[in-house]
Amino acid sequence: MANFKIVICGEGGQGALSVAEIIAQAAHTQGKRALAMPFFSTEKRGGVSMAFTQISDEPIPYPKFGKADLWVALSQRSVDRIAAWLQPGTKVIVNSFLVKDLSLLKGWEVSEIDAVTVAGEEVRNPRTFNMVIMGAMVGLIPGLDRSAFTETLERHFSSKYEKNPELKAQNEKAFGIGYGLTHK
Amino acid sequence: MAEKKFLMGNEILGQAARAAGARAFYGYPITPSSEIAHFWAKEACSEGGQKDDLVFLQAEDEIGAGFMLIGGILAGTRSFTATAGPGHILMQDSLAMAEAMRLPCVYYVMQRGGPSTSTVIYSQQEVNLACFGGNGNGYRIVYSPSNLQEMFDYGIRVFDVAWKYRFPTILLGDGMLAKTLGEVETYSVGERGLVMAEPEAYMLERSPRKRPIADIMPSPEFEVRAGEDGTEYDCYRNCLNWEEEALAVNEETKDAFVKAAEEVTEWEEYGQKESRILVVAHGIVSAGVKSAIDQMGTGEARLFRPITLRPFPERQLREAAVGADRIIIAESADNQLGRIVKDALYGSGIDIVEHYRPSISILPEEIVGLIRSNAD
Repeated sequence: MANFKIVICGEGGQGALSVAEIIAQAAHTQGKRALAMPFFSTEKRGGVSMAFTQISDEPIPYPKFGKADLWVALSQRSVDRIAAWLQPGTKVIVNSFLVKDLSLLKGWEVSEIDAVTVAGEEVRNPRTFNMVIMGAMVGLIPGLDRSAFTETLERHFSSKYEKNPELKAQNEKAFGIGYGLTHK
Repeated sequence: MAEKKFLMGNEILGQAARAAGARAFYGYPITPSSEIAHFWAKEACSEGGQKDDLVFLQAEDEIGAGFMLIGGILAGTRSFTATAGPGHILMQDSLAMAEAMRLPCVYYVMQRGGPSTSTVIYSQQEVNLACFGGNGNGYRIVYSPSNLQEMFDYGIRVFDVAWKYRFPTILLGDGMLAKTLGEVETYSVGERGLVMAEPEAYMLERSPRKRPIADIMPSPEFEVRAGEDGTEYDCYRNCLNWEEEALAVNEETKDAFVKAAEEVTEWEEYGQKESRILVVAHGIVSAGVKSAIDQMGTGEARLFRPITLRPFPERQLREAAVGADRIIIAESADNQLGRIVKDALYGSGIDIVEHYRPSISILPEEIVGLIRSNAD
């Protein structure tokens, strides 16, 4: 597969960086080449975080890029922050719980996912909304097998799972719901 | 055993220091280098780390950390630190002393965007500081890696070079390399046949020293003193009284640096030799230039990349410039690499285009455009 480029942006604390890293890690587990790189401002919370992930069958020469194949905004101000990464054909996901104004996204097919409501009602844990988003993202990434995520999630969240064993099933459920929303 | 791992650049550096046999880390965490300190703290507490008697010490600031590092080096321990941006500024205090005293301190520096409190992630604006900071003449060795694998490879090499040549040695990365997560092959020095220069105490009783002190340090700074019980100690002096004395030390240090440069200087050339445009870039920007050359595939441009920024491959650059109609200098800083390159090329008469983008990444597509607009 050619180099598939993903940009994700959210408010600090929403998990944009973790999502970017987990996807890259899972791709690596499947034998793909992958890079993930964060960009964040000085505030951990209250600032906007963005992250870049690339997945390819070939070595990836540079960690940043100018146009994305998959574009994800977790909050309204994220839309402005990463608008420049849109190109014709970019697949777009927005967390419609926070993204209400889609005027910048006319001309793109947008997957509007109310991830917080879905996570709250179906998983009973609204904080797993980023797992819903991640599942939806994986549903749109060619050549990536969702099965690799179980292991990667377990490794990434091992300390959190120890403290809260319920979270494992919740994360996996949220991921599966998101995946089902976009995967055709 | 060689192993493919999926790690962040900073973790790769931690593993490199471990593979190089480093024992002590003295530092103060600062973005984007903090995970190096995190790695070492965790490693020092691990079973293997305790067995190897690893030291992790967080100082009150980078000034304190830098002088603790010097203490570790004087005691003969393979020691290092990691810092970035404003921390790198404070670290120049100890670095200048290490330079003056020929101390093989190792610094992992991850450049971050300035002015200091703006973006914490990326820039190449610490070249001046790394190469020429302090009140000396820039007798340090500075490596600029361009990808994650080189972070590991040169992360090991700095420990050998520092002790072999007795100059402070810096691995100058940037926030992008530090924070990128990707694949790397780690290995032990033994399986690659790498022989690391062994650390040795500077302040020591005379008898157990393995080689003459004169091999190690400029003679005017050294004297022997007897302790109360008559034991003789090598004492290292960093206070010079006369201009002539200072000149003698400077000249001796310079001679040693020039000699080391013959063996240490590293560079890389990429692309077809007959290309008329020569792009000069270092670190991650040079990775972008390679990608641009590959994307174009037309042979219009080639790359010259200094791997050591100090000592700079001046002669090699002048040789590479032969046949070039135009030289493009590209860096994420304003005229820091540029000044060094123009100094090396002085008198060549070749047209130079300066592309300075302080604190912002330079994408391969941007370099393609730059090459095309200069190709006519």
